[in-house]
Amino acid sequence: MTRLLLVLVAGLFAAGCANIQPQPVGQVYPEPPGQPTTPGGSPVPGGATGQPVSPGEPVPVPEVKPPLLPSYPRNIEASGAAAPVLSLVRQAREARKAGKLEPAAAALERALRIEPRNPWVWQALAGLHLQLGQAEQAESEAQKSNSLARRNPYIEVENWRLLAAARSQRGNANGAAQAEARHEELQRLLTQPPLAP
Amino acid sequence: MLPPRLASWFSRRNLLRSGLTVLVLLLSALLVVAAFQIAALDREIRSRFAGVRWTLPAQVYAAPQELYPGLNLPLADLKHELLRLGYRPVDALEGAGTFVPRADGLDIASRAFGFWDGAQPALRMLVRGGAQGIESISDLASGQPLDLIRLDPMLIGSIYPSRGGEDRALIKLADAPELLVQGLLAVEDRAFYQHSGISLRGIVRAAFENFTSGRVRQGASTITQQLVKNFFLSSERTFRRKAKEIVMALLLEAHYDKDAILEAYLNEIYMGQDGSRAVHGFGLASSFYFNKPLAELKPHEMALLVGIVKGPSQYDPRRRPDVVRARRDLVLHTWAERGLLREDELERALAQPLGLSGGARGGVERYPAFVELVKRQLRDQYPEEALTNEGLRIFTTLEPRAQEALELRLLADLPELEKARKMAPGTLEAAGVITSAEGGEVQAVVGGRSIRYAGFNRALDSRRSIGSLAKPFVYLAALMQPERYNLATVLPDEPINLKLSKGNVWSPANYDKKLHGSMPLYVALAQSYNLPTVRLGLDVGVKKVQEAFAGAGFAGAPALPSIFLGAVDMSPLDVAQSYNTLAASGYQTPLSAIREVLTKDNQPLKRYPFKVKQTLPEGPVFLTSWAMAKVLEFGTARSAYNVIPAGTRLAGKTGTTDDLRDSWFAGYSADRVAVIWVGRDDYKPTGLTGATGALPVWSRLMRDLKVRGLDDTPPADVEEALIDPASGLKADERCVGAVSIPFVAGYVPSESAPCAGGLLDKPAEWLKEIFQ
Repeated sequence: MTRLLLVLVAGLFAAGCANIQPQPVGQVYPEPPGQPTTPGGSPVPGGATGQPVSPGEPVPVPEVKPPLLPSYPRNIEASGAAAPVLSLVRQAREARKAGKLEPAAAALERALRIEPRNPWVWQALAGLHLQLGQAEQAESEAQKSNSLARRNPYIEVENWRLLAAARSQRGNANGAAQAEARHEELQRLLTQPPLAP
Repeated sequence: MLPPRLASWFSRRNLLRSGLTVLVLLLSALLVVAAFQIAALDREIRSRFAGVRWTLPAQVYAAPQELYPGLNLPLADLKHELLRLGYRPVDALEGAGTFVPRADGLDIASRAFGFWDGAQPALRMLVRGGAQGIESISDLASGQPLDLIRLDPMLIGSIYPSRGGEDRALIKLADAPELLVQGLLAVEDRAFYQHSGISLRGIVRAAFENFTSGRVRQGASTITQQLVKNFFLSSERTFRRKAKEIVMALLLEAHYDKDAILEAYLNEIYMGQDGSRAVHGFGLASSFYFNKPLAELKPHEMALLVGIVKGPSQYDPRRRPDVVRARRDLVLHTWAERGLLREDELERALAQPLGLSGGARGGVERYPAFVELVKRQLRDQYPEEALTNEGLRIFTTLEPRAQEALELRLLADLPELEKARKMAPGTLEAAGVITSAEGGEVQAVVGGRSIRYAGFNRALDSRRSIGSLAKPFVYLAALMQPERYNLATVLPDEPINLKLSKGNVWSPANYDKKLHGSMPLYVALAQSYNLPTVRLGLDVGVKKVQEAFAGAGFAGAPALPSIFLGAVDMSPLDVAQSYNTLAASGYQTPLSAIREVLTKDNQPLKRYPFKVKQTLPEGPVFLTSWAMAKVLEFGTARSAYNVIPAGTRLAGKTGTTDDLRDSWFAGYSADRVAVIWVGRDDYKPTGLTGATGALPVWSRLMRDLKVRGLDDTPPADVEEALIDPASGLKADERCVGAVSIPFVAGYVPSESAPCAGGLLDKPAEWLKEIFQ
């Protein structure tokens, strides 16, 4: 029985990893990626909650950080955020597209009042402030988003890009380079996902 | 020589002629003077009427209640919220501002409102849910689900000149209910649309009465005259002023149409007094007396307003309800006689009570302590005149539910504390602040037990010693050096004698005057022991502790070791700021009470965006919070869980000052930070510690607010390890009483505890350092 379970879990894990589609990065509000490409829905139970799921000890886990990519939601739509938050984020995207940056920021703040610890919303706010030329604010918000990201690389990769941009705007070349390096490292990880053996 | 008759004829005629000439000259002169005077009055009227007619105090609004599926707002609370906004419970939905209570929800006809980022239209919706909160919201007509709705925000006050002044909420004639307008004319000026500003019949009648009584008593003024009187003239009663009034009324009518005059009247007329604030116009009177917009008034309420126009101080509904009721009923009968009310409508209206909104001050000026904070934050950015004159619309962060919960707790719990300590009622004072943990928004402020009285605002202005509320910052300063300290670091509990600069010796003691032996750092904080704290503080250095305070947002901590035990004077708001930074994982947000400022025409003027800045490192802040959760779990605040649900993880700290003068508790959940202070204005001892005074109030407050428990998942740079508390070293399954403790990543002790096979005789680095 145990062996059967192990095989099953390992298989699921492999399937999940093999189906990772590289996300376009560098977008502040990643659009929903259409259908998840994993057959049979979420490859790991609880995959949508953002909690890394431990597959149990016997499964050979590749030595990478962060572990178990497929268990992380790739965008806010998949993250289990509340409907009103999603609706405000959409509203902010539209306002931003129309060049109405202040109303966009106001919508995101409204979303944060509903879910104050939503890393996607903090990230979106950081992107807006960067566009508004408020680099210091953007940097803090991207950091805050990282703090709340629970190591979700899909969030972190964009935050490090924002941090690099914000720091270089503020004349912090060293800090920008470090952030850029983290960004690239994560981007590599996401575009060439480690496969289960 | 002329015959004498002719001579006399001539002389008489001459006399007559010269008399006539004089008369003509005099009259002409008078006419010229009058013409000049009239021209001057005319200019005055036109300039006043054409320009800005009123200086409008800024209007201050609470945060709007957001409604969405999944919101943790029990239906009973939502109903309460609607009632506070002046919504009326009905059997079937009527116009905006009504709702139907049902077993499984509420049908609501919401009001339209112009927000900063656009208008929320009036909606008719079905809200379904129960005691757990809102499950669904849908449009009544289409059945479409609705994601997110904002109710209209409550008007909580206005900013008028401090010397007192006029306040009003402008309305348009078209927005005034027909019955109100017709009813007003029926009582005050039936021939308004026919006369030319004055009513001759009225003047004759008034003149007769004044003549017979020898004094000016009778007004007999038309609406136009009353407007002129209110608008341009003093309240003295002289014939000269009356003449001026008549001329101006005629001029006003010559320049402006009836509707413009009537609209000005509806906004200008004096309707009552609220402390030093004069309530003008029907718009504000409606919210002042009934806590709802004019458009939602029922006939009996309109009749009351029309009735008190005659003399708002003589007919003060709150002071003389019987007199006002008689007056209101008289108005209602008049309306029925004039065909404005049907017989059945009259009967229904007569049967109604006055229906005044609760509280002596009505729907406005309910939260003077909070509005005071708003004013201070605004005064940094706007000149006084802009606030009192330009009708700015100020949208604040006040959360009426949180404010109400805080008020309720202080009102209910202080008498209890006094009774238990056999103090005379009113001995204790208190203050409280609630903020949102992540956004740094001030949600509630109470500045004293006289909640509606804008007196000494203790939440903002009472700076008192904070006692042990300072300790988290001592421990934080230590934990910010993870190479030297962690939560398991063993601290000695030994007497300390510190030589101060002037030859004095400072010998702090534990509150219970006992020594407790060595203990892990987190236990020392949880139990609020003074001696280990002072030792730690001395070891870390005053400067580092000051820096931790500054990082949290308080720059005023003096450079003295006594700050370790809280010899720092702070207001409850200052404490809220410092603890807010801890609650927000080290991201400091300057506490704000304002979200947006709009012009009176709803044009956005200024927005106060979220501002965050990481000022403290996340890992050490998480460790400090973890230890502060232990304060409630088994430390000085463990009694909190007598009222707070067991699964709700909260962090906080008790604070007690010398001789029990101040009782503090400050703490937070995932969503809110709350600070409570209890003490006496005369600085006398209260007999209360932080745990026996402020804590019970705080615990019940957090329970009432249904706060969300803290997330104990460590952030990225924190790792947990099993530790033997006796040695502060790594434990394994062999160790009894091992505890899982979080560490800044990379700083988990590498050595094993004796119970886990470690060497006994090798003193650890940390231990050496402490005793060096």
